Amino acid sequence: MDTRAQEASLQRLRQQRSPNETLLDQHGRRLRFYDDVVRNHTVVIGVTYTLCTNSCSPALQNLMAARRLLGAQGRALRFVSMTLTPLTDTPPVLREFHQRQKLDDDWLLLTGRPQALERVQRAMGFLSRDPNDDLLSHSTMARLVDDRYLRWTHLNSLLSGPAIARMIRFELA
Amino acid sequence: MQPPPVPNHEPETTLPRRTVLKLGLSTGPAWLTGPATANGLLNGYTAPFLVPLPIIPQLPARSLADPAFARPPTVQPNRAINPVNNMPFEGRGDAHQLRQLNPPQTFFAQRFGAVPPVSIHPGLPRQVVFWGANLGGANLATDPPMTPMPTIVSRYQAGSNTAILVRRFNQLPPGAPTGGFGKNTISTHFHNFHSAPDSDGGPCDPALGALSEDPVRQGRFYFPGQYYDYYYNMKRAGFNTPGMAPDGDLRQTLGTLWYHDHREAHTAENVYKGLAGFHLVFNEYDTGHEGTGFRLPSYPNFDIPVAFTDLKIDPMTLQATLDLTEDGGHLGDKYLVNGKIQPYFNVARRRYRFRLLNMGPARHYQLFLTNPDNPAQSIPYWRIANDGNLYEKPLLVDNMLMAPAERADIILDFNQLAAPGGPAAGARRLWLENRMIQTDVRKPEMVLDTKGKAANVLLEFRLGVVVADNSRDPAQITSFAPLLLPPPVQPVLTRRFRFERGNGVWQVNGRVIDCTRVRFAMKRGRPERWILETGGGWAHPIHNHFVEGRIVQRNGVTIQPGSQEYVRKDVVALYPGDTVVYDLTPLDYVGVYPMHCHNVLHEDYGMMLLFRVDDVGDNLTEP
Repeated sequence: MDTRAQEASLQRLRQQRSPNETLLDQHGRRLRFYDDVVRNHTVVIGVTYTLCTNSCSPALQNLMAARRLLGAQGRALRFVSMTLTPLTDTPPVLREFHQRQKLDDDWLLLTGRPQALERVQRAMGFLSRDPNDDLLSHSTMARLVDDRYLRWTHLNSLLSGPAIARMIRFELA
Repeated sequence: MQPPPVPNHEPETTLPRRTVLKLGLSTGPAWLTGPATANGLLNGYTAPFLVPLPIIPQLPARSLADPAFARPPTVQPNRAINPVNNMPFEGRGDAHQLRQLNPPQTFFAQRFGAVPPVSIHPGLPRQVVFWGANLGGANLATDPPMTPMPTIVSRYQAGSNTAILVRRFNQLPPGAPTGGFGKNTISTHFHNFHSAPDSDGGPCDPALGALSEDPVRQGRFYFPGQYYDYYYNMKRAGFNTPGMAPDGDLRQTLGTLWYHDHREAHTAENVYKGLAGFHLVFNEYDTGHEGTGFRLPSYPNFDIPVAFTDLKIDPMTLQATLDLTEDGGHLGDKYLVNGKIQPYFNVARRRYRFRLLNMGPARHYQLFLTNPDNPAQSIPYWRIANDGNLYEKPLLVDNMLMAPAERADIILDFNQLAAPGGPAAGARRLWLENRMIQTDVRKPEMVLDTKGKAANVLLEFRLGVVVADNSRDPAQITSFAPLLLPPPVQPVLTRRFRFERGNGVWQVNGRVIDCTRVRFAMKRGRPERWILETGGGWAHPIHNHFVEGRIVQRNGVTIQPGSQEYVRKDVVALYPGDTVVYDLTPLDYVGVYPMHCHNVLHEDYGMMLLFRVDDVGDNLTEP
């Protein structure tokens, strides 16, 4: 397998893990998931939904705390949360949620066609593969993806901000 | 867990038919059905038994004059800054504990790097995704990295200092890893050896204080361009315990061990990518020579380490692949044995010792010996050790259940087995086959596949001529005294650990690994009882570092002599619904160690915790 073939297979893997589906952000902008969100970036991606009452809000707050602790390194990261309930989490609802959660201005909230979102969420490993589980049976991990070097791992978003910040620093060192 | 009973009549496959249809295969590996797989791929098929079993090379010792030791191996880590990369020369963050008691006498070096394209089967292209380690030479072109990594051999010798030091250089490639998996910052764990945290090769260590917060100076994993000196005193547990001899307790003797990567959150990737090897420890009784001691078959000619894993081959690239988005585990479709797919091994008609290692990541094996030319024969064999611990005497078994990370030492007497009147009378070849059906990454079915299917075979033995054999017949070994099981000790404290799924991630007692927190403290010398349990429908092989224990009960049933679990253990396999009582006592060293599931995907995704050994301890019962 020569270098070019290897690079091609890695490129295929990038898009396989981050399918290039068209999604909408909280401002209603159309974004291609791989091309516009992941490509050439280092991204922290999780799933949430605005009516979630248990783990979602603490997870978002922990990730935000981690980002603040990381300072300039944190600001350079792109933070993204995808909804699990796109039929009700329309862009205006996400915009309101964004304000309520006091998320950073550049924090992306993504919605879109249910099939497109599910495809992305499955590819990234957020959804349970147990056939008995419903679509809200999601993981509380967040993905940390450094697309250029194909550094691909997870963060446990229910850990404290300092613990998550540490893990991000260690992963990107 | 006791293996399921073996039915008298071989069962047909017991998978529900709909499962069979969904998977497009009958049972086990997908290539079982040969070229006509469900997706029509022809090129993924690999015929078995085309290549011989590789014998893993032994790591040679080096003098301190060797270039590898141009910077002397010191008790304190070499934290001087290397001007070439602006990092400390050494990744280690703390001094070697108690090294002054047994300064290292023998020195080894290994250089970790990408394995040059390597054939694992004539039907597949050379594999470019593996990482490994070399024999310690400075030039990776002439001394290339290999996987499994070279076998390290060391020795306990009461009254002597046999301590060793292994200097490991990280020369792994930078950039995106081949195949899209693997982390090139590494930590090398000596699985189940009695090491201080500085040389245990754990994932992280908050006891290193502020250092542990700095990714470059955290002191546990080492970067490309760095080395790490691992010091092993080659003393049994107890060597630094009041009332015990400075050689430690003979009954804590260890034998078949392995070393493997343990990078936080990336262990599965790195072990699957090849960063695993054997470390064998001989002693005054298990000498490695069939003329002395217990007279077990001689190493290396008749004492063969055999490591197996299951690879998944990407049908597009025909390269080994690992799905990083699946946190439940991994199931491959090719058995890789010492680095080759389903090899054969030409053996003489005499006794051999095989040291079997389930490298994981997630498959459970139930191993039988089968004569493919007469599958009706039932062929028992001798098992002498479990997780590197000799039994009180050899056990005659007809199968073994092996969870990820478990080891089994067996003795096969090819002469006796195949002789007229023997259990495999007339056999010219024998198969070591895995009959456990497992189609779910998270657990085996606990149902056996039919006997004698080539697809289930790890290794084919081809029986040659009768040769001299000075080893002792295991049937004549009535005891491995003095290397016996220590008597039970009354535990002072009972702790309970639930291995479970919660919030969509793998947890221990409701929490995931947090490298900034130590969950409980064991007091040095104080016996504890751990209740290990799993709800849900999952299997979790549990491993804790440093302190080896003993399984007392499984699901309320006391483990009795004659059981394959009546022995010290470093892996406790939990199957769905199991509750296991496990007793253990920490000795000698202090510091922080992990306990985790050795389905390494579960470990990486959170099913791990840190505990501390100190002289105070705590009484947390559900930490």
